[in-house]
Amino acid sequence: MSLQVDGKTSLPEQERQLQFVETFFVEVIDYVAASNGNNDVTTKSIPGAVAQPLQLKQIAAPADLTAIASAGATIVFDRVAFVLGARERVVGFRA
Amino acid sequence: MLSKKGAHSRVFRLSSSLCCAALMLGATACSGRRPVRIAAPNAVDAVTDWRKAVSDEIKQSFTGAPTAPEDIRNKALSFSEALVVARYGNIRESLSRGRAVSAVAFDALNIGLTAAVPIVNGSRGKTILGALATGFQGVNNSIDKNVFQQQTTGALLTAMDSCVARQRAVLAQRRLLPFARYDEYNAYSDLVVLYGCTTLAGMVQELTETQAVESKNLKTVLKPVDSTTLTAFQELQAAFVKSLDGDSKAARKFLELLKVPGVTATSTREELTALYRGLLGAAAGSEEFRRTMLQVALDAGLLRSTN
Repeated sequence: MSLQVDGKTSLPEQERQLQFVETFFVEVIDYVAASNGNNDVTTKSIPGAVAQPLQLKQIAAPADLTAIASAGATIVFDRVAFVLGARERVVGFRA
Repeated sequence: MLSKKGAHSRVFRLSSSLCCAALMLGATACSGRRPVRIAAPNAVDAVTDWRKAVSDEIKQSFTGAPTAPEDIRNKALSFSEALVVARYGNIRESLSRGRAVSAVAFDALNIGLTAAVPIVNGSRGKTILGALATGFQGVNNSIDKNVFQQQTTGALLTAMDSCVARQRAVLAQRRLLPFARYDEYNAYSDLVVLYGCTTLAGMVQELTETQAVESKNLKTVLKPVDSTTLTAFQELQAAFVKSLDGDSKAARKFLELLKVPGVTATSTREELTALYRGLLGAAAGSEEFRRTMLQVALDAGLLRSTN
């Protein structure tokens, strides 16, 4: 079984869905646009709860990514995903 | 430069090495082990029987016996295919009736139907089907009978139909090939596969492969999650971890109330965590299951009602 998030939903909604997935002792390690307009979620099993919740942010330029990293966050993925039906550059990170 | 004696000695050593190698290939004297059989004698006999039976049948063909190798091969294919398809129709009917009336024993149905197929050409037709059945026996033994018992008649029939249709299309394509590229032995192999489609073992195999592909491609699109639900599930996970840190009773009871299979009094922390993780698929695709989980968490004492 693989999980997908509806690509037509907003970024905060998608973030909630990924955080919901992580309440089942798994960690989201990748998130990417799928061919059917949804986003594929890749997870990894972990023995306990995630230390920090996953957050999503839409970015336009590499400089935005640098800003997130320099704020001390751990970048989990930097991918193109569907947001409100459009392909956007989305970064997943943990504070 | 080699002396004559030295050369003789070398030749002797070389010939004895070759002799031993030859014996090793025979896998008898040098290793003392039994030779590996590529084809069991009964399988070889089956091919011979099939060739002879179709050859005899072709000679008596009322349209005149073909002479070109391709035509002979195609005639053999047609006749054998007709027999298998006759069996296929009979199995379809028997399976529907048999399964509807009572549970059918795996082996009994297989053997029973082989004998029950109306064979137009008496013993020769039986020989042909028997020869094909012999070719399929190995696969037959490797099928898990429990898998068969779990299937509905409709699923089995669909599996058989798609397997037969696919294999008949293969035969239709290959009969166009020249004899040098597709001889009677190739034809026999393909006919064995076609025959296999009409056995319960073949059906189960087809079904298992289809289900494996389907489960691999299965995508669950997550149902929307509101803030309240997210908070509730974060609390549930924290409570589950807390229970595991303690005596695990509430965590165990939670899984038992949800009828999760595999929960025992001796289940370890890792096992209980894995079982909880296994609930993700159902919770991702069903809001009702999420509500059930939260209610059961209250019943098991993992969560406390805020009302």
